[in-house]
Amino acid sequence: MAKITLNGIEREVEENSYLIRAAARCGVHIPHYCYHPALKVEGNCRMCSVEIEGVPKLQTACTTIVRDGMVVNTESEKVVKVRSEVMEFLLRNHPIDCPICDQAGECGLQDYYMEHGLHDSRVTVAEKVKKKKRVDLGPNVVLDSERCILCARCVRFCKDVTGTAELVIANRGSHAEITTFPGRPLTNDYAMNTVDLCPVGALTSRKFRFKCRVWFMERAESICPGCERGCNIYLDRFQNEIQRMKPRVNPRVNGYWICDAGRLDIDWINTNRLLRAEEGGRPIAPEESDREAASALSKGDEVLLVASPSMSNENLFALKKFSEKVLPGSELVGGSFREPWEDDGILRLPDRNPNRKGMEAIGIPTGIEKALATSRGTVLLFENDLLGDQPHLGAKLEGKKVIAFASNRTATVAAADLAVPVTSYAEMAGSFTNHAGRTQPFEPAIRPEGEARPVHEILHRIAAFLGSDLNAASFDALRSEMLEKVSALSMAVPDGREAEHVG
Amino acid sequence: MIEQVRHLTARMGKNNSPTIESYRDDGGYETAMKALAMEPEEVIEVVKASGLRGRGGAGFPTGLKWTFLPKEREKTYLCVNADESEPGTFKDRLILDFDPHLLLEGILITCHALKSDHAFIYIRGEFCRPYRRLRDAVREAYDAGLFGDNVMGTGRTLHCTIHRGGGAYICGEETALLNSIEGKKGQPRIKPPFPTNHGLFGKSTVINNVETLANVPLILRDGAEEFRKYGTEKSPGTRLFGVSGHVNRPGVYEFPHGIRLIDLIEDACGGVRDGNALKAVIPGGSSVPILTADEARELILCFDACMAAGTMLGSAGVIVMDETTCMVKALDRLTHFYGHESCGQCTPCREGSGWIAEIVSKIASGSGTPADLDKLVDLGRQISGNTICVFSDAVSMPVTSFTTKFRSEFEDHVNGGVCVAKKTTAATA
Repeated sequence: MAKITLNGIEREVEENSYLIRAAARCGVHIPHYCYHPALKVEGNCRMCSVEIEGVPKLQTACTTIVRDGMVVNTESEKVVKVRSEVMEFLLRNHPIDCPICDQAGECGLQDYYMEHGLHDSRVTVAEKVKKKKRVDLGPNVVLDSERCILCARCVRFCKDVTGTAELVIANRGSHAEITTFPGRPLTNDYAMNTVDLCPVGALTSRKFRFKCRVWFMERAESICPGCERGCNIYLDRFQNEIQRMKPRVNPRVNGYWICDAGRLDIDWINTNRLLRAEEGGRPIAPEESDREAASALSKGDEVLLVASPSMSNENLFALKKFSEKVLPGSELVGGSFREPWEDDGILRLPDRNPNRKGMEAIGIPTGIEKALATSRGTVLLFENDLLGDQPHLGAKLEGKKVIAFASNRTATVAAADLAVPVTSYAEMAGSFTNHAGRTQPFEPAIRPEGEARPVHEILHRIAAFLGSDLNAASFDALRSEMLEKVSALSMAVPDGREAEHVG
Repeated sequence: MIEQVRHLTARMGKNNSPTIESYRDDGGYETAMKALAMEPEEVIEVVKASGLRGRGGAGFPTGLKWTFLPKEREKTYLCVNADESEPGTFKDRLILDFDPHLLLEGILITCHALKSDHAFIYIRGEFCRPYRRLRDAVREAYDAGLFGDNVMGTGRTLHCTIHRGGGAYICGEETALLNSIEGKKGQPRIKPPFPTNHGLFGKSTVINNVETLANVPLILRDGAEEFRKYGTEKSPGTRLFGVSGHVNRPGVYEFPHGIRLIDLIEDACGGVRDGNALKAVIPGGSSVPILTADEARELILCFDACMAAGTMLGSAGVIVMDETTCMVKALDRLTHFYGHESCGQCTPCREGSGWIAEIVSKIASGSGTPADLDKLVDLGRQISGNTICVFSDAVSMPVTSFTTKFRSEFEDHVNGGVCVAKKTTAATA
């Protein structure tokens, strides 16, 4: 540890750490644009200039390594003045088109101008350098060069994180701009992280562009269901619609990033949903569907329950309990595994099922093919698109009574005798256990669509019709019971987060 | 009358001076032979004792710089800065053009001193003839066994690579130069780490100017003491002064440090043209603070006297302006250059250089306002001191000195657009 004096207070900080980071850990935020904790230091924005005793010139906190006995002032008169001057320079050629800018409301320039600028403009619009306003850097990222402050975070991301180096800064001086090599667009699988990294409105997401003002949105902490990594995410909602997915920092899981495939896979949450229960295509009320399901199960036929590795631990636990307590003679297996993709060495892991580990911990075996082959009678499919994911198993459903519990209209739903709408992960609380056995909770981001209910609630109702108390109506009680019974699923303690974003 | 002292320029003007035959006829490469037999540390000691200071602009003691190399190092590179791009500076090109082997001998000795087996010469892209002559000289040196895998029969290896710049002024900044050689965008690096520890391709690197290295064979040949006979205590040796502007005989002149600027102008260069009055002088390349005629008359040309006079000797590119010069237009020319050449890395310089250029151009065109002048003075201060390299200071110094020392001319321009500079000179009348 090194002892430094930060704004008059003596602090113990980690030796050999950058001053900006050391200060952040002491709770002192030093304004910055180009610095990002996950990227190489560049030192170009000059916003983090601070005064260090014995050094005549101001020093950038992002390039300065702490020394024992260092006396640092981040708020001296000189520092405050230089900061405001840097703001003036940054805004000199900025178009100030906030009214039409997607970043407005979460913009580093807006925030720091209010905090550190507040100068009167000394430049007219006509004097500003004009640059390109709409450049397709790749399929998902659009660049507005006029808004760019050339912090080069995006350039460094593509160079050092994905190793694809699509972006460069071309030209010099105030004519410098971000660009790609002709014919080599920004196509890497993590390209949209550059939009998150961009402290201003220069890089925008094609998907989110002009969709919603950020101050109208509310966010929920969730877990990406795209693969077994379990990247921590935010789901931002407006008018009960998921508008965008953003990475949530977790150094133990996904760091600062998420992949584009995961990020873009949100449309299904609000489209093509199964809104009401249907029996042979005819809509029925929830109460009726529960009774219908119960009566199908009470006939004494063989029952096969098919769970899915996309279900939350709580729902899986309720289902396991249901099979043991309410239908002791039934068989419970896991099914509907999505085809693996390639481990890309960054975040994506081969297994595209978010909760295979949770299913294993709860004790639900695999072996759907065999189970389907031997089963007769009734098959209950939970969040399983068997016909869509594994079409060759379709034939094995013929002649059986199929009850599908699904969030979306799928081939399986269309073929089912009874289809019951359930909530997607975005509409309920739950948890997934990732590849490393880390159980991570998520919270509901939006209200359930239509008459969708969580699986555990539905099971509780069906059990009631069958004369049992599943004790799964309350999510909290269910989770407590699960944690008590399945010790492997203890919840991961959220990690301390560092400054994620400028401003 | 002051007399030129021709050490570096001793061979200039001879027939075939760039060729190896001519160089050898004049005793060339004999010093290198002698130096290669010495211990590297001895060579460094001689250079240190000579007090040689860098001729690129900063005037840092060369021998001291060499000792900054870590004792334990994997590999050492020597980079020769031949990216002479400072407006008003044109002395390195003279060496490249007319005595390239003097530089190569300097490289040979220096690489021996630094235990380096590879030298890179970064030459300004616009230098065509100097490049061809340098290239031919390097080929001759290879053919003569001076470079290659058996340097002068000693079994040592020394390779020499010429790298042509792409035309960016900033590549004369030593770390931008390294980036450029590495194939990256020419942008200065954050220091520390310094090049002696982490330079070209991450290896220990020394970067020296052409004129600096051209002095090395002379120091080794004649000894440190002989070198110190010329110049001043703290600025020993001779210097190539590139005089341009309104003098009767512009050109490169070699004089010992410590001569008076006014003697250089009046005696060596035949005085200000057409009998006009002297108005201003920039003594060390366009980036250093300008002097009024009165200040110029007092100035002694050595590192320390220039510092004391509030300016710098820099690259010794002396720009002389007579009374026909409009100081606003002169500054416009400079700030246009800097606005064009800022690498664009650091915010204050990227935005400030272009902004300053625009304001000066507006004032020069007669459409400026007093507010523009205030803004210019402000920006000249704002831009300096908070960037990775000293480019922003190079913009700041002319802006601040011009607007301070010739304030009234700027005021005239923003108050009705009157230019007081004498409109005609004999040549144009």
